[in-house]
Amino acid sequence: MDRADPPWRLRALIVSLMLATLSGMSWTRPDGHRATVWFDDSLSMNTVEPAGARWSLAAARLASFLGREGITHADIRSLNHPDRQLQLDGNQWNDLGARLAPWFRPGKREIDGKLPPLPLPPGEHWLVTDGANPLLVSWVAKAGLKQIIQVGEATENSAVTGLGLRRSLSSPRRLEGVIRVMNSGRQVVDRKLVLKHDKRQLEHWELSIPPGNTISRGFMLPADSMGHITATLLPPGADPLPSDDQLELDLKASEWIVKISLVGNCPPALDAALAALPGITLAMGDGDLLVTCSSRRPDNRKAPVLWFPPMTSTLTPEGPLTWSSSSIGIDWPILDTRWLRTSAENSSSGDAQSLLSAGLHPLILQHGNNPPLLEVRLDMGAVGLIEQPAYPLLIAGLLEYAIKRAVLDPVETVHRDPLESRIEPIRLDWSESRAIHHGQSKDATSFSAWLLALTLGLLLYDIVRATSFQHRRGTRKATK
Amino acid sequence: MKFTPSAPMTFSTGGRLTAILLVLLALWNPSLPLKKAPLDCIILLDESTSMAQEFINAGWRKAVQATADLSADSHFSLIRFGADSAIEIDTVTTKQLQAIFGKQPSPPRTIAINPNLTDIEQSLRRAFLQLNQEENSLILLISDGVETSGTLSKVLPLISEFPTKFYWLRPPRPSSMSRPRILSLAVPNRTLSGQAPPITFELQGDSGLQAMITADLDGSPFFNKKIRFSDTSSLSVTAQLPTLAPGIHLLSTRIRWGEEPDSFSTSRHAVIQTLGPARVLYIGRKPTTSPVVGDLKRGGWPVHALDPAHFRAGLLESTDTIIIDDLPVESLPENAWQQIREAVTRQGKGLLLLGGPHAFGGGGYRGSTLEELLPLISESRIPLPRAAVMFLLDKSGSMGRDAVPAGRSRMTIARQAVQEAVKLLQPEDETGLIVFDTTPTTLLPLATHPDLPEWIDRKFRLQPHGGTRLLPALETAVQSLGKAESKQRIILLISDGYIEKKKDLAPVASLLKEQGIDLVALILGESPDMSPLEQLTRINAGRLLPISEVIQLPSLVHEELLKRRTAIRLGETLPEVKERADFLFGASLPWPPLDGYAVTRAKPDAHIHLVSRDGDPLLASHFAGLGKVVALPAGLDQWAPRWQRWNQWGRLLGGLVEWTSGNRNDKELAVNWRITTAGVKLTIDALEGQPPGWNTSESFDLVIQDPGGRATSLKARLMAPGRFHALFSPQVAGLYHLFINRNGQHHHSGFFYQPVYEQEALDKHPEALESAVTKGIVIPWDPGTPLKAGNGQWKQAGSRFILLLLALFTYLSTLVMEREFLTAPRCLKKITEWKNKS
Repeated sequence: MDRADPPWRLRALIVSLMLATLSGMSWTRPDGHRATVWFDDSLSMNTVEPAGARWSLAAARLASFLGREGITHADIRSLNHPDRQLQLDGNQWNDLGARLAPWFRPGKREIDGKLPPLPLPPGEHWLVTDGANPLLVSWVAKAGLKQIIQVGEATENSAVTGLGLRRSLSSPRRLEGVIRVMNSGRQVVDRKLVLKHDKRQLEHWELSIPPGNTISRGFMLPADSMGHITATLLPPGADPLPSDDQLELDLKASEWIVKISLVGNCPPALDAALAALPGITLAMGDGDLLVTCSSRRPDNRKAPVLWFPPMTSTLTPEGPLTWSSSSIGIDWPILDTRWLRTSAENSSSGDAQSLLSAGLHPLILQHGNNPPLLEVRLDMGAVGLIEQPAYPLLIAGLLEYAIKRAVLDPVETVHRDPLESRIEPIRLDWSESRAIHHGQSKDATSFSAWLLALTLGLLLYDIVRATSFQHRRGTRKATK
Repeated sequence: MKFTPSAPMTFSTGGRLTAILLVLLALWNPSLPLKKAPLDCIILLDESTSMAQEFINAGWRKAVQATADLSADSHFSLIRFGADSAIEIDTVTTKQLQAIFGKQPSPPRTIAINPNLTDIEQSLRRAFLQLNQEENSLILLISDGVETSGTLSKVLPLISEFPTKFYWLRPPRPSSMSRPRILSLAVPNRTLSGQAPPITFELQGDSGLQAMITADLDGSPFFNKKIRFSDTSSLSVTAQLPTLAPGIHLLSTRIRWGEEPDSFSTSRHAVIQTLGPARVLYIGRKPTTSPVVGDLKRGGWPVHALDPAHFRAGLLESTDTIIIDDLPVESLPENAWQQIREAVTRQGKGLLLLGGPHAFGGGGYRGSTLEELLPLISESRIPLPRAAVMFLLDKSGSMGRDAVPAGRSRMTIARQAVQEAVKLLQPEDETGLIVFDTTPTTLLPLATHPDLPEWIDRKFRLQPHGGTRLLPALETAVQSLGKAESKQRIILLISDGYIEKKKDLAPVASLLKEQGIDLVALILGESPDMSPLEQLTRINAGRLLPISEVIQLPSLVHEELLKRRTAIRLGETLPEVKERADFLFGASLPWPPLDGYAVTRAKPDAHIHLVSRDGDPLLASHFAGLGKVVALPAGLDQWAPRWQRWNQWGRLLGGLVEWTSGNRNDKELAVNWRITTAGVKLTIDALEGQPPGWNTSESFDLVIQDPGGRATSLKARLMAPGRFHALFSPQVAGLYHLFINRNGQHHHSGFFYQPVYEQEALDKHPEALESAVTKGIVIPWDPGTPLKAGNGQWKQAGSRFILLLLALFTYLSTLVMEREFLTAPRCLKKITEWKNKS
């Protein structure tokens, strides 16, 4: 067979290079294929399938895919927690499961329900998920993913979705609680719900929850309970996602009971109103709040103070009653100046801030803020005032303003987004995923420049070779 | 031309050099000079509240003008944004843009966006998704650049990844003297009726600045004051509200200075709910003498009482409870009923429907707009037996006389009475019509006549003449009714003539008794002796009604037939409490008996509070849309005289009015709201049961009505015993009404949503964008300068492609030509050899 003419091989190479550049062919280094992998670390990835936890199955499948696709560097990012990220290379695929394990340890997770913002940065993107989050459907459609690895088959799950406590209406020394349990599966679920206070079982219920329904159960606790209140669905492992079968509420007794130190001769109506407020206990010594009716202004205070200075002569204040804007946030009762008596003596307010005034006359003043001292220049024994339903509300408002938390009706809750406990995978239609063009990558750009440079070099060689060939040919003819 | 060795050499060298030059140019990749490259142009239009509409519109017009200079096949998109974003124009060419929008003064706004926040980050991300990266691109942002949601700095670095130029058109900064503000408005959110509480403004402005502070309540100005800011930049002003009537009031305050137009930044609003006696609108036939009106007024309720003829829709606005007292449907036109329905179902007004002889079945409620609102259907639970009704109508000459003051003949009025009476009959009832003078004529034999009303309307015309003989007519009617299938048999006689003697009527009397026929005789004018007829009407349940005013005839005929043919129970009825309600204090008290009631049946959602011993509803309630509707089929007037004398009457009447009121808030429900960046967070506290305990239902349904009147349903979820949470995203600033209607519990309150974050944005600087301008990532756009596309290095593929194609063509041509030049002498030589051989 005749050998190809060497000049024509060169010319063919030049033409091929030009065609390759025109086709926009990009450069893929055999040792440099990178991918960003979005790894779903939502609660449903802890679902235990017959072959293992979803996340570990997903990690194994991802490792296999990374190897098979020739990926040499992977940037593994959490789909739900922007701060979680792993940079791995080809030698670490076998360790993928172990490296991802901390993401799936039991514990509180803060998920705001947002998926990574689109468009994704330039490059190749993969997604590893169980597809239980319905928001993924539209996200996938716009994300322009190269690869989706989806795991999971289980659909049945029940979860404790809420645990809340509030002071009982009938007995202020008791707390009333409610537990919510949801069945996100397709079948009726029978579970036992156990309520524990630390390790002591308080109550249990046998539940039968229809599919898609949430049911609630109530319970009672003494108001001075401390420690952990835990609601658990039993038996453990009765559904494939045990992580959401429990919720725990950390109880601090101080949330529910306010200790008040009472000093001085307060009007009996004030004593009675304080005693009648739920969640108040009168303490000897230091309390959460000092209520004083002595004539001397308390200084060197460690706790907030309500100061009711005694009044020798009183008058009915004039002018419109005005709460200052800084008192917003407290549901103050509606007062009428006709009910009120204030000191007839003019005393300086100093740098105190007025909370309530009648015209220009301050009735309640705030001294300092850390901790605050509220000076109440109202006669709390005035007949017109103590007969009003607003009287105990005014005192409760002053307490709440002073100690900066709910006194009458504190509420403690812990809850879980019901969406988190949905484990049924939705098949993600990958074919519809619109590839987001980021244009040619810079690698591809430089590759085309390299091709052009090579073409240029070969063209220069060709012109030199052609010129010398013509020159030799001309010399040979001249010799002949 | 003579081929010489030097010619091909020069040619091939020249060709190769050209190809090299072209490849070099391709490597440089310059932009094409002769043609404007097509652009992918996206305008991001900030329509958040902090942006002035005039600036948005002007910016839009300038941007559209600027696109006229771009390549005709450029693509253009418009994204409007606030808290969310919408692609308002999706990829049109600049030519289309100019043709459609070139002369429009403002951008198209077909898609609603939430203007209460500014999220530039999300809108820019959306722009990136929208960009076609095959084309040169530019993004023009028209915005003040102050974000109140999202983080623009996260997405700004992406601009350098895209081959795009990012322009920014921003509104001019406010003048050096900062605008005065209402920092806060202290106002009670609840007051009692009759109170005039004070309000306090906290104002801020530059020292020396003069301004005017004004306030209005429900649109009526009540306060204005000139103020001058002194050394301290904040100022506190107190004003007294006018006396407040019960209801939800909108307080609007504004600060004005110089020529500055009113804007959201210069105003503050608050909602005050005033509790007090319900404002009552009473519509009945006896507005001045009704005991309901009199006793409510004596009890301190503001009552506007009128007869149906004086009803107008405007009255509904300032009403909490509408009372309709024993009115037939026809007493108000259909559009008035529709207005009442709107007020109840959409504005949450209460409706208290009092029955009586002219209400429910007797008032033609069946199938009416009014019946749609009621918890009761004007139909008995047990169907009525069929009836046979024979109309016996006198057509003697005297019936041709005009009735004073009607101006119509007695015959015409009698015809009208028959016409209205037949409306009360069911299609399966038997009817007949006999007219008589000295002799009877059967115009309609006794049978079922489904088209009877139409027949009377079209064909029933009589010319009165002749004398009067009642007996033959009565005999004919009795004979006809004797053959009737129906058990209830009625003769309805209308006459003004002579009545035979008692002894002549005796045979008829025995027949009436034997066949169970009720004779109802309506005698017009003065008759010399009615005692014979009176004897006949005493048989069975007949009745004799002498009528002095002929004009009353239709209503009396209607009433008499109504008593017999609609489901009305007359006689003493003792109410029994079936389901408790707040005002039904009398569970343990014996309720006084009623003298009658309209028999009805309950709708599926009705709560039946009082029933008769037969189980017929006597007091029922339900919610029709947002309003509570309470119905009493016995009413509170002629069938309830002993209720009016009851020592609990005042509590009952007041309780009914208050319990129905649209301004009522059940003490079992409390609602609080708070504006956050995510929307308005609603917290509901709910009680249930007796004694009250926390409500632990799984969820709570509530309805929020926006300032435009559109209602949105929300579900509040249980968080802790009695505590429910819901999140609502308002779209526009204004007064929102919140309704909860649940198991008879009612709550109605209001809140004013104003985009506080956008207001605060006016004091902030667009830091992210200003920083990007400094770095050269963002270009401030002067509308006088042209818009240019991005020129990222890999965006000029068009130039490289063409240059490389030319290089390839040049090189291949050189090779072909070179081969031709080099081989031609050899060919010529072979041809010459062949020629020589031959």
